[in-house]
Amino acid sequence: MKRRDFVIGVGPSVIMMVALLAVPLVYSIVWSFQSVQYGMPGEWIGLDNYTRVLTDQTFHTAVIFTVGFALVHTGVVMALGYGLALLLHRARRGKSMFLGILLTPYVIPAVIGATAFSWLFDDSFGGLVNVAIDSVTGQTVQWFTSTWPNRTLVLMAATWASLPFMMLVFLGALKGIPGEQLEAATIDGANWWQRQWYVVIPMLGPMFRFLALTSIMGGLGLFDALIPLAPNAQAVGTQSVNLYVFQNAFARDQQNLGLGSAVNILMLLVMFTLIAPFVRQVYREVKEGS
Amino acid sequence: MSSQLTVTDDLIESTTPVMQPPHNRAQGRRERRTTLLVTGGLILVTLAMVFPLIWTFMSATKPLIDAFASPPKVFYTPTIDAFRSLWLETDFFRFVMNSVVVGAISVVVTLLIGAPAAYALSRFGGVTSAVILAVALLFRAIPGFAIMLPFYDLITRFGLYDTRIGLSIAFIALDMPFTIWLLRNFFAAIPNELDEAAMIDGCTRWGAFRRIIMPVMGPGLVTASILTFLGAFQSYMLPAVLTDVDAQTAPVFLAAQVGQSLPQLQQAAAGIVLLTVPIVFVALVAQRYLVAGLTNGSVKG
Repeated sequence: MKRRDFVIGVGPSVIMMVALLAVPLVYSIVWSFQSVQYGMPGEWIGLDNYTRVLTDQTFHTAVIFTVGFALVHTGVVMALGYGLALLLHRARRGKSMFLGILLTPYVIPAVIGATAFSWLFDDSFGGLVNVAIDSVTGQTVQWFTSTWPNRTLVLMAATWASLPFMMLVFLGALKGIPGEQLEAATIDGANWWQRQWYVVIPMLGPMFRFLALTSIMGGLGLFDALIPLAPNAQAVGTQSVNLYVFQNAFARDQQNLGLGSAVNILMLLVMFTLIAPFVRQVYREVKEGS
Repeated sequence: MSSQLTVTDDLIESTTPVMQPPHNRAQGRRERRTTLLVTGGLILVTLAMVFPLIWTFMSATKPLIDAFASPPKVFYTPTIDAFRSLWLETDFFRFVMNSVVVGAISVVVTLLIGAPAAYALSRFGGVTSAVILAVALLFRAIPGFAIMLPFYDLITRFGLYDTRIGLSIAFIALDMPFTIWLLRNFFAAIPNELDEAAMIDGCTRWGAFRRIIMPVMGPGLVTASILTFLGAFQSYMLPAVLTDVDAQTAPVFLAAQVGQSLPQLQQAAAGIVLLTVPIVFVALVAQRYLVAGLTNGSVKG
């Protein structure tokens, strides 16, 4: 391809990404060193936003919750997703029907799915789960107002919503595994568990790592689902980093853009660090591949 | 990624004879039992996965006083009152239209700008392409709010706050890196010889792109369209920040509705049902493309 044609093709989208992604990002960086409100010029305050955030107890809680959530959620959803993919892979008929229905929680808007999920747990709306728990143990769980139950609820709802995606990707990978290898292992006397552990999982290693990476990054961005699931997030300890930003930079009573931007930049640094090795690898592959 | 997934151990493949496992009656019985267990397990899991939505459907079709009664009512006379009041008393239809229009604009513009870029990136090698693709990958890792807060400031200044256009621009910008990656992988699968043959026959580069390459890109374009549309349709964060009343989308409306009292709550349940049904229908009909996009786009970039 000629250089001119390349520029014609790539130009519009590059201009757009610079204008609408890179420029706002630069604003965020600048704001993070300023005291600023919407529509007004900012005032330089150096690192004050950062020191304020980093010494804010609420922020600490949000970070610990968000990181813990991202890690635990990734572990749970990958284990369950793999199991479900194995089931679906083994199924003889109705595969695409099961797949289509199973995808439902993933394709509906997260905030809507989380709302539907929350109704099963909400006492004031005839929450079915507490009725069941009550009939067995004689007690009810405060799913929305005590810390660990609410965290568990968020974890369950998030797992419910992202499980279909994990399952789908694993299913695609399982299909790509050559049957000969598994047969060879069978002939050598490996049982089903050994075949999974010694043949399938090592083959999928790079993919597990990549999925874990994207899932952790997605978990760190937790936001939508918390709107219905954690109405008392800050008091209960289920405030995510993004919700913290939203509360500080966008809630009607306080619009502290500088503070919110400082958090955004810190989050950005974490994300870039996580994805850097992968970007480097892709960069090399693209450069050499063509 | 995929290159690493292929097996490099030739030894096993070449020295082990590929044998069909011997079939006898006991084994056949075991097979059938496993199949039965697997199918049973799948049915259970699938029911569990859709149960929250079934329950929502029940809440939406109960008489108002029973809808969220505690303890819950399992048997009831179904009614469509909630759907009727959602339709008559709220602007739900308008919010759905906002979602659809914004989704459609996002799809069209993203493809118009993204497809030529992705094609160029798949055909023009070297450092420039690698840098653009690497940066696009980095952009996908930017937290939404780091873009959204300045964006809010920006579109307010241009008078685009709470408009469909303003919201669409945000979606197009945020979707662009992903679309470029996804389409580039699809373009890369089309052999270069096709372009060359067309150009020997007298097409210009972009003539070949328009007349020869795009027509065989059908599946890739459908996949990208579905994912872009779903992305816009699903989002809560963006429209919550960038819209207020006029351009508000259905998910934002429903989430606000949930904080209210009983009639609104049941209207929200009805709204959830109305939104879920078409999306699930799309997911079933376009499953092949959806699956291709989710596995391809996510794993390879």
